[in-house]
Amino acid sequence: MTRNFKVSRTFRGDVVFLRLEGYLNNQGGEEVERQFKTEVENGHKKFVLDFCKIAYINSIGISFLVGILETTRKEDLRVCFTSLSGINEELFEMVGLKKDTIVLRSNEEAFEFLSGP
Amino acid sequence: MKILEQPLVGREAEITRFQTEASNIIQGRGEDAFLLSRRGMGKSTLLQGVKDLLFWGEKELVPIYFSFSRTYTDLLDFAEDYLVSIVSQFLVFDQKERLALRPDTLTSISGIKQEAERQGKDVSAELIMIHQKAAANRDEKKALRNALSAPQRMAQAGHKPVWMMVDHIQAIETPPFFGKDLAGQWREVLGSPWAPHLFSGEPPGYLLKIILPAFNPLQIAVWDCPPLPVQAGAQWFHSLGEQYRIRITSDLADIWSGFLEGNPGLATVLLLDARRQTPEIESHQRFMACYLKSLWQGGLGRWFESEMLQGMKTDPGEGPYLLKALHFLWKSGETVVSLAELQQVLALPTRHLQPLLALLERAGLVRESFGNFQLENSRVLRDWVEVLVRKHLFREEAERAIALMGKRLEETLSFSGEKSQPSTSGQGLAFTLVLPIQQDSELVAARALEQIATYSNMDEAGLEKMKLALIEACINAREHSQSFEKKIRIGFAVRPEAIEVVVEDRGQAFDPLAVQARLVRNLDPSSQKRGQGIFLIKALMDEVRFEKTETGTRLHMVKKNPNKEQAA
Repeated sequence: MTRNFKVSRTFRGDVVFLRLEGYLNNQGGEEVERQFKTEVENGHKKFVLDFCKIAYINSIGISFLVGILETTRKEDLRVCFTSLSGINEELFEMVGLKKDTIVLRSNEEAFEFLSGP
Repeated sequence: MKILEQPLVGREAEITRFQTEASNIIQGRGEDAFLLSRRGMGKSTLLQGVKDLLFWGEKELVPIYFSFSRTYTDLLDFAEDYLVSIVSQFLVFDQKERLALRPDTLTSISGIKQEAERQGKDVSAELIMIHQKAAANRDEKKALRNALSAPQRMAQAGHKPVWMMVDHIQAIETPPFFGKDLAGQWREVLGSPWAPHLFSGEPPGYLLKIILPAFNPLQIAVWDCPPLPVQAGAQWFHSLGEQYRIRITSDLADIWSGFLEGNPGLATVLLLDARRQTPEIESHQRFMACYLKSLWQGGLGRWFESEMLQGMKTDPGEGPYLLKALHFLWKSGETVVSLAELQQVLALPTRHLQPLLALLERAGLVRESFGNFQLENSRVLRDWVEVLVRKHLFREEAERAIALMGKRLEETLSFSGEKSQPSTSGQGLAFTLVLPIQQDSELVAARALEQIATYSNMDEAGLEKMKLALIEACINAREHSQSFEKKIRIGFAVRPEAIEVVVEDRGQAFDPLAVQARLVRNLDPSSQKRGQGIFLIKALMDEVRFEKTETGTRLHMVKKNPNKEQAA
C-alpha cells in the first residue's frame, strides 16, 4: 500500500468490487494488479474497478490497467470500470483503453450488467 | 578469491572486471588488454589501487605496475628502469613483510642484484646480467628485448602468473621512443596467458587510431574506464572536500561533480586550488569563481597545460596556428569542420596543417572523423580552450575575461532558475517551483498548478488536462534525465490567453525521439509496463516543445485559454 493510494475490496454475489482511491501510479498500479490477480486465483471471474475516488492516473498507472484487461481477455473474465471522471474518461479514450472495456456510471449499473448473461 | 576487499569509490563494475581477469590469469587464461579513457578519469588510481589490493590480498598472482612517469634519455635508460621496476616488485612480492616498507633499497640494478642473490632467484640474476652486458655494449635492442620479456620469464621461473600493468602507454609516441617501434618489440612477448599485459593510456581516439594497431589488435581487448557515476562522483567529491578541509554542501558537491562530468582528476585539482583561495565554498557563484580562476591562472590551467600539451613539442612558430585552429573549432561548437575550412581560416597548405591537427588530436583536444574535425566533447575542456584563446590569442585581461565567461556559465547553468521561467511579456504572473526528485513529488506540482490557475479563468477541463500533462512531464524528468541535482525546476506563467509551463532538469539530456519510439512500442499491450508520457503530454496540451540544453532537458508546454475574451 502506498501513501497516496488505497484499494479496498468488497464482494457482492460473485462480483468483486475493487475501489481505487488516490493517485494511480506505478506503485498503485502494482497494488491493483496484485489484488486483481489474487481474486482471479481465488476463482473469481467478475470484477468492477471503481474509480470514484481516483484523483489522478498517470501513464504508468494506465499501463497496469492495460495489463489487467489483457488478463481479462486471456482468462475469459468480465470487468467493468465505473464512476470515471470526465478527464479520466477522456484519458482512457486517448490511450485506446475505452474500446477494450465496459465503462459504466455506477457500481449498481455494473452489478446489474455483470449479473446478466 | 578474496582479493579487492576495499572498493575504490564508484568503481565496483571495473573492480569486478579486474577480479574476473585476475581469476582467469591464475587459471592460465589471462588475456592482454588496453584500458582507455579520457584524461583524468582515474585510470592510474584504479590501476594502482587494484595493484595494491592484489599485492596484499593475493598469493597466487604477482601484480606488477609500471608507469612512463619520467623522461628517458634513450632506450637503454628505459630498459633499465623497466627491468628494475619489474624485478624489484617480483622480489618484494615474496617477502612483503620484510621489504614492502623499504622499497628505496631496490631502485637500482645493484640493489635488485643484491636482493636477487640473497633470495636465490636465479632468473632475476640472469636478467640483470644480460642487461648489464647489453648496457656495456650499448646494445639497445638486446636490453629492450630482455626487459620486455622479464614478466614472462619470471612467471615461468617463479611458477606464479604475473599481471603486467603498463600505465601512460601513449608515451611510446614521444621521444626517445618515437619511430623506434617499441610496440613491435612488445608484440613479441604478448599472448602469454600466464603473463598478460594491461596497457593503460589516453586519449582513446588517438590510441585506437595510432597506438593500438601497432600492437596486435586482433588479440587485444579494449576496456573502458568511464567517468564516475553521478552519485558516486558527488559522494567522492564531498569526501575529497572534507579531506582537503574545504566546506562544501552536498548540494554543491552534486552540482559540481556533475559539471565536471565525473572526472576525478579535474575535481581533485579544482579542490586543491580552491583550498588555496578559500576554506569554505558556500555558494555556487563562489565555486564558479574558483573554477574560472583555476582555469585561467591556477591548478586546472596548469593541469591542462601539462597533461594536454605534454609531448606536443611544437615549434615556436606553430603556436599561433594551433590557437587559431582551436579558436575556430571552439566557435564551431558541435558542428564538424572540414580540412578545407581549416585551411582557409589558417591560410596553411595541407602538408603543414595536417601535422598540426595530429598534434591536437594526440593531445586529446581534437577528434577527427572521416577528414572532419571537432573539439573533444568535454565541457571543461571547451572552457579551457576558451581560456587559451582569450589569454594567448586575444591577450585579454584575466578579470574581464573571467567576468565574461562567468556570466555565460551562469546562464548555462542557470542556477537562479531564470531559464526555467517562461516569459510573461510583462502582462502576466510568473511562478517558480523547485521539486526534489522523489516518488510522487509530481503531485506537489499538480497542486501548485491548481492554485496558480486560480489567477486565470482557465476552464476546469483545460486545467485537468494541464495537471495530467505536468505529472507526466515530471515523471519523464525523473525517469530519463538522471539529474545530478536531483531536482526538477518548474516555471509557470499565467497570461490572459494561455498558461505556460516549463519543466527543466539538469542531468543527461534525454532524447524525446527515442522515448517516443519506445512509446510506440508501448502502445502494444504486450509490451513492458512503461508509460506513454510524451504521447499524453502532446495530446493534452496545445503546444509542446522539447529543448536539449547544455545541462539537461527543458520542456515547454502551453495550454490556451478558451475563455480569453472574458479574461481580457
